[in-house]
Amino acid sequence: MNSKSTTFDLLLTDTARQKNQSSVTRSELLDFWNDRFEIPPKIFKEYTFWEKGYGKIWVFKGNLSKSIQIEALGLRFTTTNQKSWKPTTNAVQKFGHHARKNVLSLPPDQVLQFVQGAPLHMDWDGTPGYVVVRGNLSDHDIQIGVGLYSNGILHSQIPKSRQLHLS
Amino acid sequence: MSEITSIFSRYEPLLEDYSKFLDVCNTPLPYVVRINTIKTTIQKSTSAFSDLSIDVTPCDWNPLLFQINNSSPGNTLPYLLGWLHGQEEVSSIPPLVLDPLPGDTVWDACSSPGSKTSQLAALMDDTGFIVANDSNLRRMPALRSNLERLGVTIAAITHSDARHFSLKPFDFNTFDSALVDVPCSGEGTIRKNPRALQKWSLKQLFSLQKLQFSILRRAISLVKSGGTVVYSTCTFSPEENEMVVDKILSEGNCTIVPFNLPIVSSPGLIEWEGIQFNPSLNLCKRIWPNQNNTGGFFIAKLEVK
Repeated sequence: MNSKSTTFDLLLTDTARQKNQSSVTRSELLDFWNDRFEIPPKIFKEYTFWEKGYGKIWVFKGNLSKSIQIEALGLRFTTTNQKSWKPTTNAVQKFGHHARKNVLSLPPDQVLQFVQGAPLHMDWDGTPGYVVVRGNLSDHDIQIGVGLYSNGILHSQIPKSRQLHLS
Repeated sequence: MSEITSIFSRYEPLLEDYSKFLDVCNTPLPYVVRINTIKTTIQKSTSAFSDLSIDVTPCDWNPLLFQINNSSPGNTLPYLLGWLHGQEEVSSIPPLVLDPLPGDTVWDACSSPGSKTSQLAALMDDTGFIVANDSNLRRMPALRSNLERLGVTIAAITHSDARHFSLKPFDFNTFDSALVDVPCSGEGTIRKNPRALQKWSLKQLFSLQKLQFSILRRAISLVKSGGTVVYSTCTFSPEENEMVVDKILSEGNCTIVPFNLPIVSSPGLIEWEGIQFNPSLNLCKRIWPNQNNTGGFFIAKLEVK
């Protein structure tokens, strides 16, 4: 992997791994999204994935032929520099509607708590870990963000700067 | 004499109702949001406004714009979801004039905080490529967070002096079009920021003019023949508007093209303080705050030869 944190390196497929400058491959990344959320790889066929800094993966609609040193390329997608790979809020808001597994749908009162960053105690029979948190607004499903379900508690992963402050 | 009156008196000959202009300049601007069609629809958003008791007034010329009357939109669920972006009415006009198509490659020369960039992406159905540049590193976080929250996946953000912008990192040699919404003296933002004129001086206008001209010239050189460059400012001063466009026309690499606006505007000037401009400058448009109860703006649409 290129050590320069300003460089975006393309995630290549497994077969091209020997040439890969990134710490994960495209296939590993898409396998994670498929295994954890049942979002099939074909959903991402128009997108390329890029690593800027160890384990910080970005998604970009389109392609570039080489590594590039710029400030941002598309949006932050997944963090892979920890044991449990973590999707970003923006990635879930963008692609979460395709998820069919490890989705937690919250009723309106819990949505309001979740977006304020409050932990929610609940029983749930899914696999502990990061989940897509879904709600409903005006009869439409909404993809709110990422939660971490562990030991009967859903921990909101909405970044502090984006949490709402409701009276 | 107030700051506004002393500085804006130079524009009295250009206005039909100067006292109304001053009155409006002293009135706070309504807070307006744009619906982000990358993540939602007008119908979903209006239902959400209603269900969440967010009191809105639709903008009569643009179905995507709503005046917010009773709450801070940044602290609402639709904002968190990236359905909304605070953007003044006139600020939404330059992207509409540029009118990019899905698949285009577009340069946004002075992009932060990303209101117009994200609007360009929405107009392109988040398909194509936008190079969103800004020279100010401190403005990068806002640009990045806005584009990400609004679900824009086609933008590359670059930190570069737009006057010397290089295409070297990229795979292509020209853009299809460019938005050149330059740093300016901000006279037209006085309703939003009453301190906007604190640094105003004629010297500042001419200093900005140099910067604006250099950025516009770089854009003309980076856009393909037949491509469009939209030049815009949020200021009234002819020094930063007609004089910049007149100078770029004199270099012979672009022409002004006509365009229509859905709101009231005034034609560009062909003379200011004894200086004559290219007659085609009257195809530019200046929006005065009193014409539509908005901020002020200036827009020129150019075609590269």
